[in-house]
Amino acid sequence: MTTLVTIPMSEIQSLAPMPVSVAKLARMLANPDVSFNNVARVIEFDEALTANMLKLANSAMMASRTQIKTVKEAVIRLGTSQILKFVVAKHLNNALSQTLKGYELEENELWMHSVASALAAENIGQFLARPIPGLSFTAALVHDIGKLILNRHMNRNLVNQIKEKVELEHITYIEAERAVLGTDHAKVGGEIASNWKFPKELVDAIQYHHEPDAYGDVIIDTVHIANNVAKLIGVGLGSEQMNLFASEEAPNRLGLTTTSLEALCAKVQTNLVKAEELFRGR
Amino acid sequence: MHDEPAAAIVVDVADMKVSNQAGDIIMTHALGSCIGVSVYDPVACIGGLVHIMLPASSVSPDKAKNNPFMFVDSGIPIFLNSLCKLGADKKRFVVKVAGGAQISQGEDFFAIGKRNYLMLRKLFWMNGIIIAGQDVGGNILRTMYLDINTGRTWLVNSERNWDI
Repeated sequence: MTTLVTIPMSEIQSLAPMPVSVAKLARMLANPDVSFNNVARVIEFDEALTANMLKLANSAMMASRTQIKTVKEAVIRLGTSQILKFVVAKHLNNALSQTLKGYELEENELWMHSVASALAAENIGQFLARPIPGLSFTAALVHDIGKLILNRHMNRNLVNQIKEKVELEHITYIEAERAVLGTDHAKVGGEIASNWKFPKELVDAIQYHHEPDAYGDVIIDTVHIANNVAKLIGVGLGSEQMNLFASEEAPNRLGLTTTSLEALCAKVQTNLVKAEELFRGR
Repeated sequence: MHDEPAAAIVVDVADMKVSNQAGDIIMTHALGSCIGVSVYDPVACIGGLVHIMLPASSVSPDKAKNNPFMFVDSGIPIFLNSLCKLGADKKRFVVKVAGGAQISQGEDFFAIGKRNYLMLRKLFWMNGIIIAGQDVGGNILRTMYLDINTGRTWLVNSERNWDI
């Protein structure tokens, strides 16, 4: 028996609404040639964003010797590709930190998984002969955002149905989710991002992060691998455990070797400990 | 997590803990493709648990220097030596292994769990160490416990609770 979960638009809209300036920033940063001046101008229009940006640029993590006083200096210091990720991370910090019973994720586990994925997307470029678009960092950070909404519709019975399907039919967790719920966390995530007016590249990366081979897109491939890296280092396994698809083609397309994959895992683990200390004071 | 003794000593990812205190329980959370190894000397009642992420330190020698427990080849020898330093005898080691899970629909590229296990087997074989019990592979998550009083080693996930 299939239970179909329908998610009203109002619920999609209710999830941590993004300030207009963030959507604007996201669309601007989809263009790799965007100017520091233009980015700074968007941020300056938003007081809260400006304050956050200056605080971040002057934080211990950035290890700056001179004090950053203007948004433009902050943009230059952080780099355009990091800015969107930081803004979105700050905005979603609380939402991502909650316990998700419907996915068997304890408090902070989805946060850790999201940050580990973002770190993987940021660091993968070091092992490749090609550049990785900065939007990938943000896409990796929010790739599981759909779980926040689907979690509210899950109950023990549905989780068990999904798990049973995975086991009996040897399918991935997201396939079982689709079969039982009639929708899945990637699809819902795409709807949320599209409601945030995020650029199409970002929406697609969230929506298709479990099926990269149908698209062959560099951002989707990066998010797909980043999610697998987070799983491989054991962060945020939850009820999905290791029941997912890992494309052999995605690393091929990007030119990632197995040795580099392992070095990337080591790097993400080390940086994750630092990120946790920074954000959680652990 | 389920059935977690209140005073368990937690081993983080890429970390180890050893003990000779009879009341101690050592545990590590959520082994996916990572590998957990428990070693126990039943005569001296000394034991330890290590949580290792990756097979070979050659992929990142600087990280191995900072944290040898990230890798099988750099971590296991130090782990075994720490037990001997506490007074355990290598000849009496009871070794148990868990984890090394795989992404379900993936081929060799992402098979870090399998590579971890193979590297561990090779290292043990070269050192004449026998694995007394294990539960490895599959697509599941495992939390691992070792009771220093008895040497009992068991695994827990959201579905069940079983000894190895």
